[in-house]
Amino acid sequence: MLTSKKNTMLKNKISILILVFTAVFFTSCELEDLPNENAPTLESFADGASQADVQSLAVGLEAVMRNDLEFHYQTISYIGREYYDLTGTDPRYTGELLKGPLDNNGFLTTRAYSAWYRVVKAANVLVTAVENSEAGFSDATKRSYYGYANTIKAYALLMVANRQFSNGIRVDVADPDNLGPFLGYPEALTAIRNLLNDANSDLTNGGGTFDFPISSGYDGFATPATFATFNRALAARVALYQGNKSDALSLLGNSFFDISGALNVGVAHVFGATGNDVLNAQFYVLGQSGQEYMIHNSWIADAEAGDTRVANKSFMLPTPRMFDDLTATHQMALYTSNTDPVYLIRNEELILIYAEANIGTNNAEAVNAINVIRNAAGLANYSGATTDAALELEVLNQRRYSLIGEGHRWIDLRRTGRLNDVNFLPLDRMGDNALDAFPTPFSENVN
Amino acid sequence: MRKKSLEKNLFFFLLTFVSFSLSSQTIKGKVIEASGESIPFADVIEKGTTNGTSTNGDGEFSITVKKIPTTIVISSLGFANQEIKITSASKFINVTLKEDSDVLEEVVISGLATTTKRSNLANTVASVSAAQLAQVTNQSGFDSALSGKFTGAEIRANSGAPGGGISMRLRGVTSVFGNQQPLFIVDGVYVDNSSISSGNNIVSEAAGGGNTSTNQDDASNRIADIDPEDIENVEILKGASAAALYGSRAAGGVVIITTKRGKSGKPRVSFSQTVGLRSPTRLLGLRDWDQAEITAAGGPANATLNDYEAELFDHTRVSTTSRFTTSGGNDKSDYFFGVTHKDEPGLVENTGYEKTSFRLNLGQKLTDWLDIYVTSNYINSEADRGFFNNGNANRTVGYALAFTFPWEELSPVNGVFPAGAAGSNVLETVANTTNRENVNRFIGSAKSNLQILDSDMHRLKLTLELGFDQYTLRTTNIFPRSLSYFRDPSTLRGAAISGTTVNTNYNLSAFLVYNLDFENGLGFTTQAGTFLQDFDRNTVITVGTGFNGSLTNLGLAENSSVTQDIRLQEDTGFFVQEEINYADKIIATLGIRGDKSTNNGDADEIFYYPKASLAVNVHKLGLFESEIFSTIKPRVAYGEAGRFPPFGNKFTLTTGQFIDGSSGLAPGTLRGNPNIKPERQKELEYGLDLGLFNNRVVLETTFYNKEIEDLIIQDQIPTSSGQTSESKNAGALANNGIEIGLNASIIEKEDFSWSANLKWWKNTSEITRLDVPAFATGGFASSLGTFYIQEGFSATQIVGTYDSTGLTPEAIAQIDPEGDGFAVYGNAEPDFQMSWQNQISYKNFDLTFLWHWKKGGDGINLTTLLYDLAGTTWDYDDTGLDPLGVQTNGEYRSSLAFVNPAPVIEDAGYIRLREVGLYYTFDENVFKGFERVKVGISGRNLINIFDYNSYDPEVSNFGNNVLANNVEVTPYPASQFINFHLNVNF
Repeated sequence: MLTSKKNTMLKNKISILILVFTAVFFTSCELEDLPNENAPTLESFADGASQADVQSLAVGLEAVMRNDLEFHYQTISYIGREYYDLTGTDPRYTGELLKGPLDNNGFLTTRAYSAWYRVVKAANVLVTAVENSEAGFSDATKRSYYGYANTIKAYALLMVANRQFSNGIRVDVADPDNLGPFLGYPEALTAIRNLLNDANSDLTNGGGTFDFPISSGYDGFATPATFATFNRALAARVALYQGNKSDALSLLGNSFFDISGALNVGVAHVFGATGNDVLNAQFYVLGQSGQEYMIHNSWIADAEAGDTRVANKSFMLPTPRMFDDLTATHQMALYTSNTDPVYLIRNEELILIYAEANIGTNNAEAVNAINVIRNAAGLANYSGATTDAALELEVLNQRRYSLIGEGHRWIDLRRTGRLNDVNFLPLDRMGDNALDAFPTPFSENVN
Repeated sequence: MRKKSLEKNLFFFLLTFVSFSLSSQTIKGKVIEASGESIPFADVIEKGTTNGTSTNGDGEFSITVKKIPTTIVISSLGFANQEIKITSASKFINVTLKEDSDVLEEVVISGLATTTKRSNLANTVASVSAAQLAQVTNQSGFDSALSGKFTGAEIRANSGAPGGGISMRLRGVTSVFGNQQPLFIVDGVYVDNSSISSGNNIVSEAAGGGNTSTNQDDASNRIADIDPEDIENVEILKGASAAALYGSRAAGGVVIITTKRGKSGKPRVSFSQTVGLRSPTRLLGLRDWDQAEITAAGGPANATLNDYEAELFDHTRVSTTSRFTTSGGNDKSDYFFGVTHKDEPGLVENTGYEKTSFRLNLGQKLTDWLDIYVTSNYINSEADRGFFNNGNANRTVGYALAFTFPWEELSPVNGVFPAGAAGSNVLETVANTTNRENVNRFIGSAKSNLQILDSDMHRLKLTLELGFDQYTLRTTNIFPRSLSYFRDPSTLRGAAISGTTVNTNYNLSAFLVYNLDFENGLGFTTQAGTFLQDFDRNTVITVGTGFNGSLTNLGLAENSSVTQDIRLQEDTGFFVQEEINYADKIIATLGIRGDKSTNNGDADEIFYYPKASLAVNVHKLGLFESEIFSTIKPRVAYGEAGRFPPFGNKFTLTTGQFIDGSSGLAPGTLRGNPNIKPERQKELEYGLDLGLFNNRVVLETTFYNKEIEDLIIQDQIPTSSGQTSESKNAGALANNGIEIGLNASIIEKEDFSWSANLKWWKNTSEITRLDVPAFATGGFASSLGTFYIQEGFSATQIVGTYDSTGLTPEAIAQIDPEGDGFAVYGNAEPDFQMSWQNQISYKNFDLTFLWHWKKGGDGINLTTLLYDLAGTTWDYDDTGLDPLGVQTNGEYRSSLAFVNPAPVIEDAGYIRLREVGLYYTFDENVFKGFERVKVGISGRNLINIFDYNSYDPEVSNFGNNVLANNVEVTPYPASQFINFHLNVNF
């Protein structure tokens, strides 16, 4: 009797102890927010950013420009019939992109669009971070950051404006809840010019050096003063698009334009294979099955004999490649390794801008510039007519060969009114069309 | 004097003996079950008295009765009672008890800590017993063992790759962007069922550049690790009305698995060996090439055609499974030990699945008020899955096979494989690449019951549970330098991708259960509890490229990059449930659960999920007497459950960037929502259970209506904001369905029995509210077929673009009534599903078979699209698709490719003979020394009838957890099995 009572008492004591213990343990469990361990959050940079935070945003801005870069250059090149994707892995490249209508929610439209706007966002985030930072930046340092960020932002807006053309773009996108209105193409170009000018004045007052590590793609442009020459070069391009030749010429004067300089001087995206670096996805392995990115046959056929650009930028396959009723003989070989740089803007283009901007006011100077390009490509001096129209055609032609695969042909044909001329934009099959703009993405809720 | 007392004693003894023998008799006997095993501790009671005893460890009993003739009643849990009329005490009684086939007397789980009889349950809870799960035929893994065995589920295999991978939806689509899966609980452990990508996107390029991990690399899911042979039974709670007590994780339902436990009695030892033959379910064959077509495609004259599909897939592989178990116990302790080794090579060379699983379950009664039960399970597995599914570089086997012409020579020359014209050489990929998953997993639990009060009226019990699940998953993808597309020095020059995931989950819970039973039959069961769950997953994937030799050690890579993904989550909460039972006539329950989680926008906010139910056993109310209806039980149940937002949705993250030696950060593309809340599911279920002819026929009918509110939508935001999407609670989804189950013990004779069950179920879904504009999701593009979330329409509708040239506005309005540029081409939800299972035994033979019919339910077949673009489709030259009768099938489909996806949206319905098994059990005397020997032959998926124009209609390129789990892009083909069994009980 006694033992069982003892047992019961013991049992009760143990049970009560466990009960109390668990009750206290669990009910006192207040859950603390677990941080995300995978990356810092964007909100943490908006206010009180340190110098290291700002520097990493600045490096990130340059790096993120390369993200999905190939989606921009490839779609623009295919639509401009510079080269085709005949690998067959995604038939939309030879279907929807060459025939239209473009799906406003498909990757051909949205991928590059979102990539460029991500750059714009990164630039806006950097500017806000610098404004509200607690790093004790001097006024000059702050302005150097603003100049850098806004130049890159203007470049990204220019890229997307060229894609969207008459469908317009939003320029004021700093507040995601209050996005600015869509501006038509001319208005967008004006806004981009103004942004470049503001950035330029910031750069002029931005001190002697940048506060963050800028990549080797900017060698020769790595101080605010030299970076400003890149800014002016971009502005010259925009002025040319606006049809303002005199502005273009004066802007060229403030840029890194050098008529007797090397053609490949400029600002570039650099790539690398180490660590978490990115590779150049526009590099195609020569002659390898699955890499059939083929130059349009007319580019080879229409070239003047001896044009070294053809030999340097193309590679003839042993047998012609055919896919989806398109045939081509030469593979695109603009880049020779997966770490080759991709230029944002280079001297060769500036010389061509110079040539085009002189047409109508100083045709002789235009011919000089054309000859620099021609001679560098192993061709004799220009010997054709020197009327405005003929020189325009010659510059257009030289741009076709000098700048293949660099995203210019489609824009050049469009701005010179030759997009619907099959002598310039060949339509190889029944049902192929010349498309002049990418649609406004579905997500913009405008339609 | 002593002599006198001895005589006296002797006299008294004899007197007592004679009086006993005159006035009482001892009846001796033995109780066994149908398989011949003895039943210990069965009750033996003299009918109409309180005189009773129980059988000993060997099933033998000895009962003394006052007079003969009398009747004794033998009963034991799980068996039908037997009454034996005793006419003579000298005869040794052999009693064979039959297993209780009365479905309604089964015991099922009704709360987090209690069980109840099915006849008292107000919900439908689907149960799959061990026999139904794994004893008809050999199962590759737990996930594939459930198909067709319970109503309300849509289970699809993702591909035929060894190692499994399924998607399981209970009662329809319950989320668009959230995790659709049910919660899996094994012996109280919340086990992980993730699918973790191996990171081979750098080679396959399925998701475009930049992403290491995608959901297109055919990863398996971790629930496949559980050995189906260890399982005693599986209960499936299909909706919130049953699963409410599991709270924020239970919107997709709950699958509760209980593993085998030792029973008292002498030790049982068993061994079984299965040898299986695996062959492809279907092969597609080559196109009917003629020389003109060959020349047009660029082939040589007099070409010899190689059937590479047959070379890759047409094989019969031998697989083996060996299993050894021993179990036993006494009235204080019990043990169960099981070990299984499985080796299943895949159809494709160098693929296969190997698994070893050890299990030890121990139960011990420490005192009569304290007991403890510990389960432990260690699993080691290796799966070689092959390199299949989508890719954009033509390197995955299926994709490259589509673009390979049969006149190509792909065989190695002097050990070196030629480059494939398709972009890769399929034979080389199969021979020289590796895609392997290695898993080491430990699942353990400990449960202790403390009986605090134990009287007739009051019972109070405290249960403490601890569960632990840890696994290390190592994924290895090797693409050596010697591959034809890596030989050139300008390429990646080989890739080795090594991923390691360490996942540790643990859960702690404590419950109090109080029973109050009154004399008049009114009983109250109150349970209350609290719990804590912790999840920790850390995945590191290292990608190494640039190898100069044949070794692929990561240290030899010229370039390596690393990504790491850390997921931490903690949940805690409480629940309370009250069950009121009036003499098993009227049973009502009320309960509520409160949850908080670090995954919610506000980690400290509690979300409440209530439940209520009512069941009335009308047949027990005494209102009427019926010869036909032995059970009439109407029931109604309501519950709410939730689903967490996807991990990380409340943050806007930055992504790491790296350029020219410096690292930086850039904004991520998902805009965080600090106010994100869990989704809430409200389910109302009502039904009727009817038992006829003494419950020999049982009909269960259930209707349910499930509403999901605060549906998480990853809304597209204007891309010009710099980000592409944001998670919001912005919609509502409803599912309505019917489930009907009919069980019948048709014939129950001594040496012949036949029982069958027939199940039929149907579900329809609708987006009832959408606060954002309609959007497309899933699939690849609207020109290839995509899902479209639109208010007022089914959540699983498949839409696509259409060619409006040449159509009148009326015609367009008919195709596209909303004028949104999309026409509806199909629906992924089946029209209905039906399964029919039969169990027939005749003397020593047992035959069981299970048919499964899924009617309707469309899939998006992009395999035929790819083959058409290449011109190599097996039915390219057949006719029948073109309504004008002009073009061949291949030409017709190609002409519509990327314009009108109608030809690729196909009916993915099927009729399958899922399982069939024929077994023979030898009589006891045939093999001396063995208690039982059984041999058999069985098959899985032996007959497959479908119209779907590819390998198998059950396929998913995007794996599980997504809305679009019906898209196919050149998968690993499905297989069927024939198995030979030998089971021996010692």
